Amino acid sequence: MKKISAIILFICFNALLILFEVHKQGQYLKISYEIQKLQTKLSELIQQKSEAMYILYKYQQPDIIKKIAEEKLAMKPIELKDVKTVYEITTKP
Amino acid sequence: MKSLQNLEHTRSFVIFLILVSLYGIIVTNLYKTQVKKESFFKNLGEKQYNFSTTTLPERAYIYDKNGTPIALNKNSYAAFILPKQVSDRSSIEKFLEINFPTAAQRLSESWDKNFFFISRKITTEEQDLITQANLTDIKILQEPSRFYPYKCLSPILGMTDIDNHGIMGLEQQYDAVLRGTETTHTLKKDARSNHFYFEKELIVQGTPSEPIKITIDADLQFKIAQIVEKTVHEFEAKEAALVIMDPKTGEISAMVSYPYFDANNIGQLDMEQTKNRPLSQSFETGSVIKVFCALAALEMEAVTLDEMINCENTKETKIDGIRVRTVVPHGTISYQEVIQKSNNIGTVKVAKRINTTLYDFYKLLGLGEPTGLNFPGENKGYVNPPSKWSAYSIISLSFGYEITTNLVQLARALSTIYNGGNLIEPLLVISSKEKAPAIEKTPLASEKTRRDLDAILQGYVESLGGRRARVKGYKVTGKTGTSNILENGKYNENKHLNTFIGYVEKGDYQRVITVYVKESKKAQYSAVITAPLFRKAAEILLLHDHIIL
Repeated sequence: MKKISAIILFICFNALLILFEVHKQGQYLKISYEIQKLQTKLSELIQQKSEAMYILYKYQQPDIIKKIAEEKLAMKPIELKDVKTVYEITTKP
Repeated sequence: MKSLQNLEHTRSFVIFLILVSLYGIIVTNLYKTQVKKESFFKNLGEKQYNFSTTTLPERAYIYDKNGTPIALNKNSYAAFILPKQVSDRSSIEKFLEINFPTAAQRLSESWDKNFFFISRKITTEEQDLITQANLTDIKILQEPSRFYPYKCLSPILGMTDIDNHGIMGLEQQYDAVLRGTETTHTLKKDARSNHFYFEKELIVQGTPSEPIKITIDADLQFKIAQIVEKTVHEFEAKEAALVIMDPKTGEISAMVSYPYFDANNIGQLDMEQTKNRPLSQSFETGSVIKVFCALAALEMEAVTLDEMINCENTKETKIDGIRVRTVVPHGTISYQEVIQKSNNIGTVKVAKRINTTLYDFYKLLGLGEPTGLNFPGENKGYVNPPSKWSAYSIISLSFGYEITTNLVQLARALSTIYNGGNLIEPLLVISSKEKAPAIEKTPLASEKTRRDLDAILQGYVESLGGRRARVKGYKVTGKTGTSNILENGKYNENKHLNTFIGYVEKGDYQRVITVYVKESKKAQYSAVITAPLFRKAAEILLLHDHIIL
């Protein structure tokens, strides 16, 4: 009886180890896939950021801004003689 | 009963034989696959499971002084086919003949190839055409390319080629830094899925791409480029260039070259427009060189500011048998006036006192020497060495002939007057690495010489000739120069190159500005062409940098 119990215990222990190993592999694969998904997402986001930067600076081209300022908003370039420093004098009440 | 037993034995034996034969076949096959063809199947298996990937980092941005991106990335698209796998050859040929005739011509000789580019960097319209044609054999590939928001920076930044490799300007100079290097991995994959891997092994570790930051202020550059362009059109000139430099640090905050090209649209590229003239164009400076000739004469104590020089009150004379001409005749005037009035006769008389030392000073001031920027296509100019001098050389060298320099060299040489007499290294790219401590060098010009030159140059701007360079409320110094352009070995008296080198100061704020305008049709004198351009540039600069009175 003792011998059978030892064998059963041994088999159960081994089966448990196998289960742990399978579980570990499963977890490893799951996390690995998760990392890969995130990496793919990251490269997509980098791509989108690059695209967004391109669009932003495409519309911020100084030639375009100057054209809009001068033609649509009737703005004129400022000259040095038009600018003066304003000194604010604050006095305590 | 016995025969029945025999039959059973025979049957068992036959079954045994069949089983043995089957096992034998299995073992033989196993031997063949596992031992004899081991390497073949091993390779086949590895090919199915192992995957090698090479990734190149995204090309890094180039930023201006304020951190504004001036070279970015964008996606461009390429159309391609796999000729050997094309299902409907006639439709492809018909489509290409109508929409991409050059590709159709190339394809007629490339049907035996595995891969064929129809066109790269295709336009949105071309992309729409391909989509509408609904030809599944034509595929679209996404490729990285560059975008430059500031066109006026194109001569400095250069551009990349179709494979996104830098081929001009800073894109070329810093190509290795901006590109980085490839990283290679081996992936163990599930044979059925191409999306995920089990293991990732690093084979070659690449280096990341690194952005670069330059000293140019993109907004200032844009504003300055506008006035340079306006001046070129106003005087119907061929080209113009301008440099703004901090005389103490050597930082270049604007470096304009006009005409420039649009690096975003290089369909018809004119190579002349790709030149970064402040560095790649060296020219005979004319009278601006008198500033450095005076520096050498004063430093050598060959003359003093108040020494009276006989300019012979004539437009033309002979010195040691050689004809010397000047624009306006003057009598006996002080050396200060000789330089301020730009009298060639007086300048030559003093230059002859220092003779070959003049050449040494020009070289010490960095004229005809590399600027240290290592910019692609930089032209370091030339100063005729004493070993090749003719009797005329000292005369030519004293008023800006037999010497060619570029605008950055002139800005650097002028900076010595305003930074304690040191020859600074011009700076275009801000390095993240710590700079080695500067070695104390003997100043090229003493304080007295610098003060005297400052007086000459300030006096020039306050005189009639330089009045158009004045900026009210600010200290401005400078000197104009006009030279004839050498054509087919002869100086063309109708073609000029007008220069102005000057300095603007308010308190601690100091900037050196050098400018040239080439082949102006509407005017001849620098006092009319380059002096006002200098003033406009100085005003824009002061306003931009908030140096307000």
